[in-house]
Amino acid sequence: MRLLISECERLFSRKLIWLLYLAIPLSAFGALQYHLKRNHEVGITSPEYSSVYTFPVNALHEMLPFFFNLFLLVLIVLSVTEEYRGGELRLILIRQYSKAEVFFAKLGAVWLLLLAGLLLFYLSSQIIGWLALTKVNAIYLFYHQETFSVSEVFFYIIKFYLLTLVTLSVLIFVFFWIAIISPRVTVAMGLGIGYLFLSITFDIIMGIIQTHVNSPNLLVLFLMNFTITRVEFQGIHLMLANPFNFMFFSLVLAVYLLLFGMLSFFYFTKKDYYY
Amino acid sequence: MQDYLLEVSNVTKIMGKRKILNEVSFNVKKGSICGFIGANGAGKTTTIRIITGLVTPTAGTVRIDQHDVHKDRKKALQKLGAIVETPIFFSYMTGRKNLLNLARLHAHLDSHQQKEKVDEVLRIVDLIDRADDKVKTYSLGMKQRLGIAQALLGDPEIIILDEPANGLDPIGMRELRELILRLSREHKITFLISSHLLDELQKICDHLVVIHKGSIAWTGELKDVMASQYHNIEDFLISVTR
Repeated sequence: MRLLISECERLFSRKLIWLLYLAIPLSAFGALQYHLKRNHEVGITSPEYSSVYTFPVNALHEMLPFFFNLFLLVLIVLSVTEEYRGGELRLILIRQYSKAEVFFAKLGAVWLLLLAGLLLFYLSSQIIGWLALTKVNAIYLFYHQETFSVSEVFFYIIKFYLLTLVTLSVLIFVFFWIAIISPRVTVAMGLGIGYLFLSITFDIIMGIIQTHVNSPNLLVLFLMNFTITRVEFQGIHLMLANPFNFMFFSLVLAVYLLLFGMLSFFYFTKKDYYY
Repeated sequence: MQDYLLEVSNVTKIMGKRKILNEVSFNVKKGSICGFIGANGAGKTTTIRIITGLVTPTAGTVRIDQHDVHKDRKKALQKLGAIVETPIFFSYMTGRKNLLNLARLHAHLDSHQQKEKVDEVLRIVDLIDRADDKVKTYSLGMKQRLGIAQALLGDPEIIILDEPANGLDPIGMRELRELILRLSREHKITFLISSHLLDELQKICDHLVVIHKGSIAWTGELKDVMASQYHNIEDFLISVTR
């Protein structure tokens, strides 16, 4: 617990972290601008239509692949690459904690800051939605034929935010591995952004391939759904639509968690520290 | 056996195909100030990294107050404070905040005691007036003193300093020397100091360990060096590593 508090304290001592938190309500406001325009283009029966009730989900869906991925990347690079490669980490490692304890404290601190970021985004989008959007009688959601009541949407929002938290928690391990193998902060940021860019490009290419093949190709379908960015773009809504999707995307996330969790853990704890 | 606070036994470190350390063994007595000398690349910093638990030896053991650093890390490192190479801090925090952040990591201090301990070590290293300035505004000498302050947070029995006088001006070096002697005298802290500044070591050390090409070339008391035909560490070092 002391290690975790110490990690959080260091992150919160940085102006950049406060600027990121300041940007969260602004990003919700940015999402509002987009959805106000979009509401004029789509009908009230479209799931894309943002009402008071659906705006927290639609806004997060909009901001997740870009804003929150970068938010997470910056948190991890500051916590891991900067301290690991800059040598500050030895101030911690020469005390009576194991490298494994330091590893989990860093993960825990980043996760707590992410949780706080998501809560702040939810509150911001809820308040902005109440102030700027209209109430509707029938609520439509992605991949659902039926309409939803206000209380049902409230539970949908909770589930959507929880699955977003789970997805971003898995992404923490991918970014942690990138952060720890990178020799400098700039390289870590570049590799992290590069990973996101390649991942999104891969999704697009697989989508194009899928539309050009005559019969449904299971391999293409499997591959195009096997990136974390795809889980963010579509997967979370699909997971909430039916149990098969939930199982499939849970499996995708589990593979990433195991692979990058083990790579990060063994690199951090087994490698000699020469910085 | 009980007189030794630090025991390094047959430590070997192989990196790739290169043997960096070859069965390094030496002991440091409780209460002594031990100089650790050798040419660049002799293996001083690697040895210090192994003693502080940052690097795992290929073979051999390091014990601090009978506790194995690599098997009983918690108990062994409780007794240790260290500056490894240049003193690096969280530059975006003040000196006091750096120390408070690190003091949190010492389980024997509650939050009130952490603040008291930070004030105490700041006074010891004479940094109390600059404690609330950001570390990035500190001179190298001040960072060295802050480095010693962080090493003192856990009430260590032994402090390891790796090139502590590097980059210090004559006044800084004198302040550092006086601080080490005071801590040894008043707080009974044992020191292992690696340095190229042999004249400085000669003024404070009572024991000496000489490392050459990854192996221990000589260990013993400074008075034996001074009683030898060389009368100073520099000539003695050249003779034992030739």
